[in-house]
Order: sequence, then structure tokens, then C-alpha cells
Amino acid sequence: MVRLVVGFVLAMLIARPLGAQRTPTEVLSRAVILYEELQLERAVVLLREVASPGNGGATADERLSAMKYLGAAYALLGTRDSAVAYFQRTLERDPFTDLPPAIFTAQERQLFAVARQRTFVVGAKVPQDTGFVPGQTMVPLRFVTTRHARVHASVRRAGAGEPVASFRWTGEGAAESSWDGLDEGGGRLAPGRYLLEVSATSTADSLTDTVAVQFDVRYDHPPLEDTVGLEAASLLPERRPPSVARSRLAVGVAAAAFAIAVPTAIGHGELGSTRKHATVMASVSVSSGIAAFVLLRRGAAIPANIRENARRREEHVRLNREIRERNAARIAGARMIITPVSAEPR
Amino acid sequence: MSIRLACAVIVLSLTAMGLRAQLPVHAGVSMSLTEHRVTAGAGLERSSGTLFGVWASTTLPWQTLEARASLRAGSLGANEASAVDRDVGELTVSGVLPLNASIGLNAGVVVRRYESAFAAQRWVWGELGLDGRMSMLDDALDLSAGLSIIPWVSVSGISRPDLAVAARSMVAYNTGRLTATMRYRLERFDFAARQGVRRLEELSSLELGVAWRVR
Repeated sequence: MVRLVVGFVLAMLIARPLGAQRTPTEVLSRAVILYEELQLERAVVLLREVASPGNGGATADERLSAMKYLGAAYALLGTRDSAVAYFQRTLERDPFTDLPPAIFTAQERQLFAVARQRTFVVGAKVPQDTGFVPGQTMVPLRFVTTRHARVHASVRRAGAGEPVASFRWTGEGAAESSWDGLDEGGGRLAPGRYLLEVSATSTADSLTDTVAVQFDVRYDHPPLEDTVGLEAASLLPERRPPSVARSRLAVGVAAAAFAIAVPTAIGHGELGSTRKHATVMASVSVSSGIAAFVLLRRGAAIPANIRENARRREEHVRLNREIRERNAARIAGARMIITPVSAEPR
Repeated sequence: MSIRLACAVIVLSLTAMGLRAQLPVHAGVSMSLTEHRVTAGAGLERSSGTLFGVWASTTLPWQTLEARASLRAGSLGANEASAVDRDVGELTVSGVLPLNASIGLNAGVVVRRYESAFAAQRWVWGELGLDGRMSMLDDALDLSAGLSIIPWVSVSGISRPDLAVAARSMVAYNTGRLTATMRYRLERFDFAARQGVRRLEELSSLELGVAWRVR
């Protein structure tokens, strides 16, 4: 009985800490609820726990959200400098951060505006898994600067020097540039990894900031046809082997022998068949064999096969040209898929 | 005369049919050096002469059957005192069915008429044989040789022979549309002995021909 009680107590001692280990997501959710219930001090404790660099379990987005709510909570608590500092840290990590008026108060938004003026950062985003036909439709590239600035953005292939597309403008806040997916020469981009590099210079104090976003380019099109190889087995021999000449001579000799044998073998001995005709025929037959032998030894090419092979090669070239044309048509109508790889850590 | 006319009509008809059916047609002329030998109890009768002829051939789409018709006519002069001069007219219609690239089944019907100052004799027979054939130099040169049996023979005035066979050999040289040919043929007819006399007959001919590919 004593052992049972001791075991129960030990189990309870172990179970309590396990129950207290909530995930950063749960902690953040709880903190936001506390913030909305204006239990700001309790919310700050939890938000600081999520935003802490030592909290390895929290994602970058969760830390970012925690910092934003920390700034908002401090703004409501009246600690202006802390609020601005957390808002600045939020903007430095994600320049696209905003405080929607439906959620945040004017007091919070005012301090957020102060933080924007004290921070100069530029941000860029490429759309997620956007499929479009280059040259026919456009894809929006989104940018943001916290202050009025001159912005230069360029798209370049990873590892390449020259940009394939570039954009320039001067402005403040969010901006959007439409890109047709083509390079500056109007050509399609090769599939692979690209960088959207953005540099911004503040017009007020010449502060600069840069950011780079990696994205992959690929194309979605119907399967391409493979070109056909010309196999040696599909071609006819263009030269005769030397044995052919000898065999033709043998045929001529055999035909001559046949003609010579006819009067004896077929003719009736009693009639004493004439051999004149057979002799002439045999002479012509053997001469034909010799002529064939000489001509074949002199030139072993087979003109008919050479012509036929030329026709087959032309047919093969035509077939592959048609395949390439069909493939080119499929590629021309292919949708370009842009997939962001990851934001450059700031 | 009516036989010759009929022969001419057949040859011309074959040519016309081939042309009408868009078939390849060869038409040509020939000159045959011919020697006829016969013994029928009065010693060897030998006569020889030249036959002139026309012929046409085509290849039919069915089994690539090569059909040929020829007409020959001429006179054989007696070489012996016992022989007599005679005129000869002959119509041949034959076909070669290729069994493979170098072997063909040969079949034909021959109608021949001998006419002398004393009598006239008509021969009709059907023959069946095998031909061996080889084309050389990209079909510029053709050699062929063959043997035939003649199982059915009808000779006016005498009974059918016990043995009838024929052998032939040919060389053809083709250049463009022109074809030059040389044909050698030996026919042998052995008749049964009647009243102790046995009739043996043989015809040897060497034909030189020139043909033009009409289509």
C-alpha cells in the first residue's frame, strides 16, 4: 500500500512539469489572448518567452509576431521607447510588417510609424508558386521601404553577373512591379535558381539597405517528345563486300556450264544436237560474269543503297525537325512557375 | 495465216492491257537462229534458218508474276537432201511466278505450226518448269537458266511423245529503257516407236532480242 502511494506521488511530480511544457505556438496564442484581454503584463511575460533567442522551438514567424505584440503591449503600457524598439526590431526582420487598424489602436500605430521613420529597411517578395505564361501575362514583384527612397531591383541568375531584368523607382512604403517573366532581350529565362536583389537609398539621409530573395524558375508544359536517333542498323550497306564480285563470277561460270551441258544432258545423242548455240550462250554468260566481277572489283559502291540511305537520312532529319518544332511550340506555351526558396536572413 | 494473225492480236493485246493497267511493259523484237533436227526412220533431217519475232512482257501486281508473250515466224531451209524447207510460226504465252529472289516457277503454252510444200503440222503444248535467276550490277545484268517438263503435247497427225523436255538460258543487259537479251533454248521430243521406227525431234534456237521499256 505504501509502495502504491509513493508511486502515485512520483508520477504526479513527473507529470506536472510535462504538462507545463507548452509549445511556442500555444504560448503565443495564449499571449495574444491575454493582450486582447488587456492583461498586458502577463502577455508581455509570455511574448518575451517566445521572442527570446534562447527559445529554439519558436519559428522565425512566431518570434516576429511576438516582437510585434511586445511593441503593441508596451505601447499600451505607456513604455514608448520599448514599444518603438520592438517595432524597429520587427521591421528589421520583416519590412512588410504592418499594424491593421482593425486590430491595433491609434496609439500603437503612431508608435509603429515612429519606428518606421527611425528604421530604414527594404523588403522584397516574389509570389508563391505563381504560374503564368511569360510575355502574355505579368507577375507582381512586391517591394517595401520604410522611408522614401530610390530603389533599384534586379533579377539575375545565381552565379551570373548580368541581370536579366531590372526595375527602378522612387517612393515610400509598399510598391509593386509587374514583370512579364522575360529577360531584357525578350527571351525566356532558363530554368534554375535566380536572385531578386534590391538596393534602396533613402532620399532624406542617403542611408542604404539591400535585400536578396532567392527563387527557382521552372516551366510547366506537356511532356516533350524525344528526338529519334538514326541507328546504323536502319541503313543499307553502301558498299559490297569483296565476296560479291567472286560470287557474280561464279554465277556467270555456272550459267555457262549449264548452257554447255544442255546439248549433252537434254539433247538426244542420236540426233547429235548442235553445240553452236550453246557455245555462244556459254561465252556470253561467262563474259557477263567476268564483266560483273571486274566492275564490282573496280567500284564496290551500291548507288541504289546510297540513294536510299540519303532518303532515310533526310527523312530522319525531317522527323527530328518536326519533333523539335512541336517541342518548341509546347515550350513557348509553357507556364513559368516561380517558387521562392527562402528569404535572405537579415 | 489466220494463226499468225491470231498470234499478233494476242501479243498486241497483252501490250495494250499492260499499258492500260499502268503496268511496266517491255516490248521488243527478236531474231532467232534456229536449227531443227528430226529422225523418223529416213535418217537425220536437219533444217535451219532464222525466225523473226516480236514480244512483250509485263509484271502483274498479283504475286509480281512476270507475263510474256512472243510471236516468231520464219523459214527453215533444209540442210540435208532428205529434209524439206518449211515455214514456222510460233506463239508463246508464259509466266514466271517468283518463289524467292532467285527461283521462279515457269509455266507456258506454245502453239507452233510447221508448213512445207507437202504438209502442215500443228504443235500445241503446255510446259512447267523452274528457273534460277540472278541480277547483277544493280539489275543491269540478269542471268537465268531453267528446265521444263512438257507434260501435255498435241501434235497433229501423230501421237503424243513419251518424253518432252526443254532447257533454256538467258542473259539480259538493261540500260535505261533499253534491254538487250540473248536466249538459248533446246526442246526435245521423243515419240514412241511405231512399226519399229522411233521419231525423235529437237529444236535448238539462239534468240537475240532488243526491247524497249514502254512504261
